[in-house]
Amino acid sequence: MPSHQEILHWELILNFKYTYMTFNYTIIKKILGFTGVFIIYFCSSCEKKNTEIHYENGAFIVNEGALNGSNGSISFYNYETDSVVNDIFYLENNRILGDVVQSITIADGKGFIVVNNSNKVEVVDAVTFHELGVIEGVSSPRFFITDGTYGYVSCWGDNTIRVIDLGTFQVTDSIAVASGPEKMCISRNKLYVANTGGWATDSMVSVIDLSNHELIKNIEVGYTPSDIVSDINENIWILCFGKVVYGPEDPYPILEETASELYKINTIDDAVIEQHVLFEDQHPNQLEIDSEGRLYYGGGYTFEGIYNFDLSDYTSTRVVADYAYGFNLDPSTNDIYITIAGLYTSAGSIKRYSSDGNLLGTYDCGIGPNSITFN
Amino acid sequence: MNNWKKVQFFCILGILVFPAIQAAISDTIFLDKVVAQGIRFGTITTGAKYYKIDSFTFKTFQSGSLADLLQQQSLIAVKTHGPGGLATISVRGGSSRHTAIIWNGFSLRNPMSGGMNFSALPVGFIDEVSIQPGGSSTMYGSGAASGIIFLGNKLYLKNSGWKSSANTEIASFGNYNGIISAGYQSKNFAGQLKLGYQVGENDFRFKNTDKFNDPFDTLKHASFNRKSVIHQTLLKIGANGELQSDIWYVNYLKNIPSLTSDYEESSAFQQDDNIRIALNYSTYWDKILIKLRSGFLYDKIYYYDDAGYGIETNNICRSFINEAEIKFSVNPMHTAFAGINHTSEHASSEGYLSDTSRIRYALFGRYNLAILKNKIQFSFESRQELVGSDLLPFVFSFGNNITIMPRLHLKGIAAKHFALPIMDDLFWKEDGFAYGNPDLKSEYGWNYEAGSDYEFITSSGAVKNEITFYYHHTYDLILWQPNGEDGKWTPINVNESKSKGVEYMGESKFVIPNGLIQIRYMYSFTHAKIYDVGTNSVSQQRPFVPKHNANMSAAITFRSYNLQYIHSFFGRSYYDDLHTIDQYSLGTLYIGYAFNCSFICINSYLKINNIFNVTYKVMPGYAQPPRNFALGINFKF
Repeated sequence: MPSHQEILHWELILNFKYTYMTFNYTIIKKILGFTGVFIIYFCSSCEKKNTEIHYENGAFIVNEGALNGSNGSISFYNYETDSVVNDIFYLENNRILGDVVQSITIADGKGFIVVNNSNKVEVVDAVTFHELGVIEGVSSPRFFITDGTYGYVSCWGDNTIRVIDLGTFQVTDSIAVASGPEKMCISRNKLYVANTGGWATDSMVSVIDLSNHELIKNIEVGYTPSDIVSDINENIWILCFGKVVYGPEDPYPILEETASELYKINTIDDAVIEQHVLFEDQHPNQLEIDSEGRLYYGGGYTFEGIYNFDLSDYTSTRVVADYAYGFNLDPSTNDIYITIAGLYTSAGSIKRYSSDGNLLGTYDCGIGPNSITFN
Repeated sequence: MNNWKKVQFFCILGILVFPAIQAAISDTIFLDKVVAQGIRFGTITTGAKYYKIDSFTFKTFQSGSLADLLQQQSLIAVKTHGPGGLATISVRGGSSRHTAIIWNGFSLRNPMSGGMNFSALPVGFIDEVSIQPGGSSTMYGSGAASGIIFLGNKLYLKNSGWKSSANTEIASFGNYNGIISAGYQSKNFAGQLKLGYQVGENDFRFKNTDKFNDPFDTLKHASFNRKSVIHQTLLKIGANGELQSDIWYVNYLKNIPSLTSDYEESSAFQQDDNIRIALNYSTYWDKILIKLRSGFLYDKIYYYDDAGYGIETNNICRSFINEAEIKFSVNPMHTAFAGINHTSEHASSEGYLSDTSRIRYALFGRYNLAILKNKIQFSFESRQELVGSDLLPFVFSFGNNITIMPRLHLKGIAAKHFALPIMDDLFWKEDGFAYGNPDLKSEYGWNYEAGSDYEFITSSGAVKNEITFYYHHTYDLILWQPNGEDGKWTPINVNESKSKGVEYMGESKFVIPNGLIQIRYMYSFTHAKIYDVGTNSVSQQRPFVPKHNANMSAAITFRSYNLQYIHSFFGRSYYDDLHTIDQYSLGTLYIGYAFNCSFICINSYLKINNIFNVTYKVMPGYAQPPRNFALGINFKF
């Protein structure tokens, strides 16, 4: 029997006699009736099976998501329906994709989704988007590319290119490059890697021999080589963002700034053969080449517009007058797709422009879209 | 039905059944309302909702953190980064920066981050926890825009002599906890010293549904270590005066695991050092009560992560707080209160350009009118605060409490609230990705609530039910957003937030032969959204704020046995505007047995957490523990 002290400890004022409580059984019967209704409700809600969708004839939108938010995703824009389906990895595999989705590469019927802050590359079927495997052992990966035999992943975390066995999805080799490797392209059986510097600044393009996976050399270009493409003559074009250093105090003045530039490298001898200043005080960070070999640059928070770079007279013409976080060109139509990242807590969007700059459509997508890959 | 649906079913069943059991009680007793230590003027604001965590539940969570306790036994949404990880709270749809945490009269809110890590606070070091949801800026200033959590440590002047206790617990996943205390009480002096140590590995296995093929992973790098000391004295001065001193030190070291989708092991860790020193003096005469208090608060948060290029931050904040309060009762109908506050905050961080200070002064007051033998009570409160040379918005509130019939009260409150920008908002230096905004204004807004409570009192038990409706509107909401010009993140005052909802709480206690039964249940509906004034768009439900939240606890003591079951239901919540976290339910069972001797009292207990072994997530990317056990024993001399 508990002492009065114990009961006082329970915050009860004890100035009354003990009595038995009488239950009202009629009330309990009614409650049991409600219980039956709830049981029927819970039993009737069973899981619905997804109808299989084929993600062809469209474009995959890479939505970064917020850092540490675990809300990166892939959306699919369907040409036929002119609409976007969001979160297709979750829809098809019933799990989240991960934290900071950086890019997707379609190759050999597979999609290689690079998830930066999850330190992995998810491999899916490029049509059904069903999971096929995962590549581990990549530190802060950024992009994936393949020569058909091996896959190559640029790893920001340890300044390496990881070589991937495409049959087993295992890392088989690691090649040290300069700081902050990101975008890559392949030409003449060589892998060219743009090293942005990561959290610092770099100005190197690393060249790797794909026959033996050894670094051939680092080529010095402008500050922050942020994108790299191969042209119809198998030469390499590199977009250098430039360098901007801000003061730490309000109003945060620019203390140091270098121009944004384009570099061209002859891939036979890996020498810089052209250098063009784009802007002294503006900094695009993406470079694309269309099916007819025309260069376009733009994208990034600080830069307004998408520009065409005329290779005959080296002048730039603005094609799209819009701020874009990222942009890509549809290889079948040369339409220009730009991404609007938004607030990283709500839906971002993409806009589709014709190659001459007419807006064709605007579509909501996932959080923080950064690029589009066509399938 | 799968497991969680069973749990959900029993939760709803519990909510239905227990009011019916109460209805069966024919007689009534009275449930007393005693406010917690540190509440302004010793009384809660007229018309405000207020509830305490009961002592049995407090005992059940004795070895846990305040985050565990609030998550399962309040209507507060707790956002936790896994077991022992950073835990912040949301009251009525507000954010952590909108809730004040008052310890023995002092605000513990970190002025740099605006929040507080509720995982770092051990329940065993606090004597009482109570909650006052709703805007209360008039009495508690910035940070009390959506609610207050009161933490109290109490000493009493009575002739009890020496007392000591020791509590030790061993639990799943390498968790050990020990607290020893010794104290002395007399009519003129009381003193207590409490030492605590807790260590946990948190190396549990879980099905990782965020990875390919759903492998079973073992959580790594999630251990923690917590050391705590609290020393208190209470001295009688003169006939009516009392001087209390409190010194509190907590050292909390926490390894931070990788996200569940991550294939690399984390090496990040955080160490919190908190020192709180408080002096409280009170005295009274015939119609006047005076309280004086001074406090020094020190918070140091060290974070280290060697991933990538490495992150190392060291944030230190010191606050000095001085306050005076006076309560003057003209007669039983009219009571006036007035107070003055001086707060000096100093912060240093690698994220700031230089060490930063902020000085605040506040004048606040309250007038209470009670008529018709206290059946109708009105109060008016106001506050004016000065920060540096900036006068903040004048805030005020009206409250009422009307007794319609014995034990049935109607009450309501309308209050203007405000929230200062936190120091990170103002002083964060340009770091290439983000920068602070020194031109930020304070948030301000209105809080309205109305409700009623009713008590049954019998000779064998008591039942109380309370329902509250509220509406909360905040203007000039401070949110970090990417700047349209350079893409860097900076805080701006553009949007508005609106929360509305209903809270229902019930409690019953009744006596059985050789024992006692106590039942509590709560439910809240919260509709909280952000309105973008620029685009005229509306967000989804605010992140980590479930629309539906419910919990119940049933406790029985019979002879020397104690048994308590706690069940908590958390509705689906958004974690951004597009993605949601599934709803889940948790059950906790506590079984205790007491041995009583003349000179020693021994309590032993078994506690089972997550008894239905539910797989759940509070935040995406953070694993939560499966069913786990704790075995403890407590000695009191």
